[in-house]
Amino acid sequence: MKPEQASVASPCINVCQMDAATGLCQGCLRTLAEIAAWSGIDDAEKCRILAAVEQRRAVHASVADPPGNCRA
Amino acid sequence: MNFTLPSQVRVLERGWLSSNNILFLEGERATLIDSGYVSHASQTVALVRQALDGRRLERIINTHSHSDHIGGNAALQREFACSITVPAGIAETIQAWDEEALLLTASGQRCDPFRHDATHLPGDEFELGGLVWRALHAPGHDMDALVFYCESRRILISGDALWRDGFGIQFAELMGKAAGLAATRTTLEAIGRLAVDIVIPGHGAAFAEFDDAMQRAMQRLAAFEADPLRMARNALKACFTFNLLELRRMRRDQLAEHLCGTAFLADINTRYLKLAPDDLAEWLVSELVRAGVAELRDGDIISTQTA
Ligand SMILES: [Zn+2]
Repeated sequence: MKPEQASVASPCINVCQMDAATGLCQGCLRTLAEIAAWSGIDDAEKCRILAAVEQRRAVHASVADPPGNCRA
Repeated sequence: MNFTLPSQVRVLERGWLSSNNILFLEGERATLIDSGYVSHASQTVALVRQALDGRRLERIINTHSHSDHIGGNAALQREFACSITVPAGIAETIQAWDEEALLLTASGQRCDPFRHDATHLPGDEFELGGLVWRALHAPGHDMDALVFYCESRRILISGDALWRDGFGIQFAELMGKAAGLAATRTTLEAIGRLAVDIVIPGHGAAFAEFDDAMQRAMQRLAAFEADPLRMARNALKACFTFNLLELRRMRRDQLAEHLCGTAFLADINTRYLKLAPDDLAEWLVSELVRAGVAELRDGDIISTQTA
């Protein structure tokens, strides 16, 4: 039994290495600015980032699906 | 989010292999609490630089000395020439860089050595981001751990002593080195007497549901007190899951060897589970697969939390 998540879950999958070519984390495909800002932004903004991540994932199709509770 | 942190407090929320990094902006300068795991250090440096936005990182302060909280210390110190303050209780061990006592060897974890410049004693008061914080002794998960409390803003930086759902592995108790479980009870009871509106934990998002988190932690503690075997099984799963987060995959046929060769895991088995190595491996795999943290593919155990 998990406590209720008040907020959108982070897409971090513990890879946490930046790709110099794309400027994205190799695990969660977020930019440094998006990772740094994550804890301070509201759910709408988090969902916007997750949607952007989905689009990037289509481009970088080699990376597996991260966990996330936003279906944008 | 039903709370707002003071604007000078920035939480860099990381995953489970790396602890959160909490940055305090102090005019032209800044202080960071906890620095993540060593394999993430270059991202940690980049994230901190991003959040510093031209400020100078002056200090790192650690809540405790586990590899997922101090792993970025060396890289950050190289990059920013900042000072490092550690809990006084562990200072000698860090000075000597005793990988056994730091639980690195025992738990199959790594860390870059670093030198500390100062220590915090329980009860010490200091300023962070223009606010006064007090270091409180929080033994249990780590016998020398500190939590940091800001009375005026009712904020608790809890490290691994209190999470939204539970607390960190009871290392000392499980290794038979100290009465860690009893210490955890004292620690949680002391934390429960504080007036807290916001908790910034070592892992997971900051939260305002302090009472519920306390209740969950006390329930978990009571369950461990009543059934030490449950505590041991939990710890074995959590520690190996951490190993797997770093390695990302492991040959299934090497698991028994890994479990025997990792002292903390082997110790727990000897003391509590008392299973033959192959049976232990079989039990662990089925538990992790059932929990959805790992899957078996082509003879590999693969962490489902990494790509
Ligand atoms: Zn810890």
